[in-house]
Amino acid sequence: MAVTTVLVVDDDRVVSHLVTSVLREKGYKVLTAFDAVQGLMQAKRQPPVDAIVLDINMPGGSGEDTLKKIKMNSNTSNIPVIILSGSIDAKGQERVRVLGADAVLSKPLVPAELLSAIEAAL
Amino acid sequence: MKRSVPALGQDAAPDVPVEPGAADGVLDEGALLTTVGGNRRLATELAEIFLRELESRMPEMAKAVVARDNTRIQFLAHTLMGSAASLSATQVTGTAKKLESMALTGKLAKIDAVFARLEHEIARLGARLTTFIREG
Repeated sequence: MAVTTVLVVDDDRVVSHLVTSVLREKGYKVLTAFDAVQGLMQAKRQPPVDAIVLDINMPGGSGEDTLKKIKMNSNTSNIPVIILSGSIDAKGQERVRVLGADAVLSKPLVPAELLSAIEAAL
Repeated sequence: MKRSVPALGQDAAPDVPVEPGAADGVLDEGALLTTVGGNRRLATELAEIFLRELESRMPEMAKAVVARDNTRIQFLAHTLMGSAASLSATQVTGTAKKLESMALTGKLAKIDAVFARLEHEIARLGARLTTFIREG
């Protein structure tokens, strides 16, 4: 059975380690990127990742810009994206959903919510 | 033993008594362990990463506050807020959020006092995390 690969893009090392550990514990293969530029490069890799967990607030471009670029690129547009945010209002949630986000999760992260969101998106 | 922390907007004036333990908002170890599904080793790793990140983050934030660099303050405070929230460190989360909000709105009149409070809270959190790691 193929291993599901998730790309985690978050500049916050604490959150990144938490997300990575939770996913690895459940058998996912995890790639990490700590800024938007690295994240986009990793998102375009071949073979493509199966899902992306993306922080909305990062250096090197906002999460929204990154999401837009992922969804506009034909190689990455079908990859489900789960947005992580420390503070996103209803309008922001609506905006990222219109841009193509599959789910929006608030920080502090609740691991069970993350796992449910990824399973639902795959 | 009761401890004191400065109130927001007051420069390190210790006048607000708080109870120790989870209720003091410094570090809720129970909530942290719940977040990591009872995995103490993972909780310890998160604490170690947080402390390591602070070594560069706090001096950077101090420089940004002195320079009144709103963009940098907002970004650094936001990241600190996310990390601290993941550790269930309520006080630091709240003060980082306050700093982020001040930087976003450009209302910086009390920013030195709020940053001083953050430094004080970070020192307390650092001590608690160090103990947590040692007890691991």
